[in-house]
Amino acid sequence: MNFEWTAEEQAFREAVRDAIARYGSPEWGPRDFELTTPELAETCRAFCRALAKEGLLTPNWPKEYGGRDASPWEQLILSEEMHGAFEPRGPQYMNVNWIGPAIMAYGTPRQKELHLPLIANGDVFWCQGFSEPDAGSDLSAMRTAAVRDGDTYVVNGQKIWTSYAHAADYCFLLARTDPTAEARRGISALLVPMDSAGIEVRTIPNIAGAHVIHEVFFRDVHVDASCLLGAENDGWALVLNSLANERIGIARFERSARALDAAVANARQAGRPFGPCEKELAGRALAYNEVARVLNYAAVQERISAGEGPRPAASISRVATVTAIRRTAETSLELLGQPALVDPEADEQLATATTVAIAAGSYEMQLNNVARLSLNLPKG
Amino acid sequence: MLLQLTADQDQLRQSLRVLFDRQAGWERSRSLENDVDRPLLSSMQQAGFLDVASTEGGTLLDAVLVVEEAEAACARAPVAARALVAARLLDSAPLVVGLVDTDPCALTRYAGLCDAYLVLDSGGASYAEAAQVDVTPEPSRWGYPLGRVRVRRAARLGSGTGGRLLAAWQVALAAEMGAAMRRAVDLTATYVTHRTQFGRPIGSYQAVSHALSEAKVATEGTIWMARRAAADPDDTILAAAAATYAADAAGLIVQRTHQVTGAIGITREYGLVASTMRLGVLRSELGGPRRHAIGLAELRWPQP
Ligand SMILES: Cc1cc2nc3c(=O)[nH]c(=O)nc-3n(C[C@H](O)[C@H](O)[C@H](O)COP(=O)(O)OP(=O)(O)OC[C@H]3O[C@@H](n4cnc5c(N)ncnc54)[C@H](O)[C@@H]3O)c2cc1C
Repeated sequence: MNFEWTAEEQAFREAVRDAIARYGSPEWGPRDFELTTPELAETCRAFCRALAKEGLLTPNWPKEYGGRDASPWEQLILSEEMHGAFEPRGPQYMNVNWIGPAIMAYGTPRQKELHLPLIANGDVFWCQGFSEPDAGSDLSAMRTAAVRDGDTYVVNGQKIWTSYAHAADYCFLLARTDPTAEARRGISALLVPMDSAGIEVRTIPNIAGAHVIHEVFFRDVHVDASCLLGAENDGWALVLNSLANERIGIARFERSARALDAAVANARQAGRPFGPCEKELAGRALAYNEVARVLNYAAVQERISAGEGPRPAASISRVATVTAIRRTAETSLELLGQPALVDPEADEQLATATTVAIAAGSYEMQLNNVARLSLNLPKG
Repeated sequence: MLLQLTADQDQLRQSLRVLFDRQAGWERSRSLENDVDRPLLSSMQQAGFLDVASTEGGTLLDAVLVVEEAEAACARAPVAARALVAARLLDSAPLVVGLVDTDPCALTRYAGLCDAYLVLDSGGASYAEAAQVDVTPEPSRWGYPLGRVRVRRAARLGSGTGGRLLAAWQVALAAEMGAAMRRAVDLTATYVTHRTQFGRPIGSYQAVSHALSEAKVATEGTIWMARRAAADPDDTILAAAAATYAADAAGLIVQRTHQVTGAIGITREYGLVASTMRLGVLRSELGGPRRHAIGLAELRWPQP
């Protein structure tokens, strides 16, 4: 067991920081990478393409798919640096983290040939079409149907809370392909071009900072059968693995830790007190963030070692992350007072403190996973 | 970064378990009520376990593994003080080492039973032989022999050692707490799986399983943070963060494990108290979470 970064990993971190300095802007802030305007979407795409050219977008991918076969820890380092810098990859963090790996694991040669270069070159935005109005925590209750008709699937149904759908080129869609099967069977994954006829995207106004979420309607959308990822009706294992990857794929603790530093600095600059009470709050928040970090590291180790097996550490890490962000948010409010509400970084932490406990499987669902997978408690 | 045990570390852990199966455990610990388990420490010393941090190729992280196993086996001996803290400060140490915080409120574990003491005061770290201190025992139900120690004479250990002693002590505390928490949570998970009420195992009720799952997260966080801090012993921020979190988490673990175990949990026979009572001492040592947190903030954000 050792916690040291190798010289190569340290050099990689420096290279990422250097790229952020060269291609980024000191003006960038927490609201800039939600693709809220076509210009911001283009900035984001251009940034990813620049990273790709320098081998910094998919470093840990195999060489044959546009990576360098680098250690999986480089993906973590990448996430720490990117997320710390307001995630200028926008939704492309998902591509590297779980969409690409799912295609590598389950894709046909043709799917790999089409999608992996697009991702590795930084050319493409994806969205995740999992949740439905009646299938949130109980994802397997999804009803969106994909009915095979010759060489196509005809998709009808509705997805909801779909982040980035307005700018996405593809949707990683889950749909029911066997309505008669038991809930977790009969689900399939489809890689659907978002410009397919019959897809309608509606934005849902919300309070999650600048984050944009949507309803996506599918009305008789014809999807080529070659877009099926993995075996028909057998998508659930793929879903579980992708969700575990999703949970640990964003280094939220890094942003949270930097926001905490900023809150202390800004509070001091504003002449606010930083006595024992404030130090206690800030010290505790820092400790919780560092714990979230190390548990995330442990979950990355689990990802490396567990293969397709259960991933309790991913849920443990997520629970700790939620707690850490809540501490940072509350502490920022205490340290800064009401100006926290209009300070972009503190405001973002306050928004994230709400959403992080819901997205990618709610806090309670993570606790269920910990109970089952880590404590082996009986099911209710 | 490799967050798995190496083959050597796995071997170390197996050997420790063999020894503790024979020479430790809750029953033995109870029978030693106000004493220290010198025979156990001697066996550990002979096997090299107390000196893993200073032997060739060994690290403080290895000492953390020793502490984890000792605490899991309810060893009634100051293993962490010797294998981890003394290892950071002294070239050689006697068998039984105590840690003294000169804060007037502080109690010392194994007071009066140690060969020597490492002393932390505002001037730094010092070393006192048993004959150089006065001890007033404080009989308690908290899982360790406790007492007040007044240091009459002590040898200063040199500049910079105060910070080093504090950090090593904080890492030791976090490692001890993590292991005690894991024992308490594991015992409780087994209990709620088998205890049936209203026709179902109580662990199948979400109120119970969620309470315990949060305890599990806090436990894993404590264990991993202690290991991380031990791996970089010069980083005083990590040490303070480990202790802050551990002391906070310990309070949660005590409440949660007792709550879902019901009345049997408070009995001496059942064994949960072997860990939860100790957590009461450990989490309040060095001033408790509040003092750790303030110290951490002062390290991270020093006065400009
Ligand atoms: C910012 C944001 C972005 C998102 N982006 C995407 C996206 O891109 N793609 C996508 O597919 N989805 C996305 N989601 C949706 C997200 O995955 C769901 O919101 C989440 O799974 C919870 O579902 P729900 O909102 O329907 O809540 P519900 O499932 O209705 O849950 C509401 C509350 O009840 C609790 N609850 C439910 N069932 C139980 C139970 N059995 N035991 C105990 N408590 C229970 C939940 O924990 C929660 O606290 C996003 C959500 C957010 C907030």
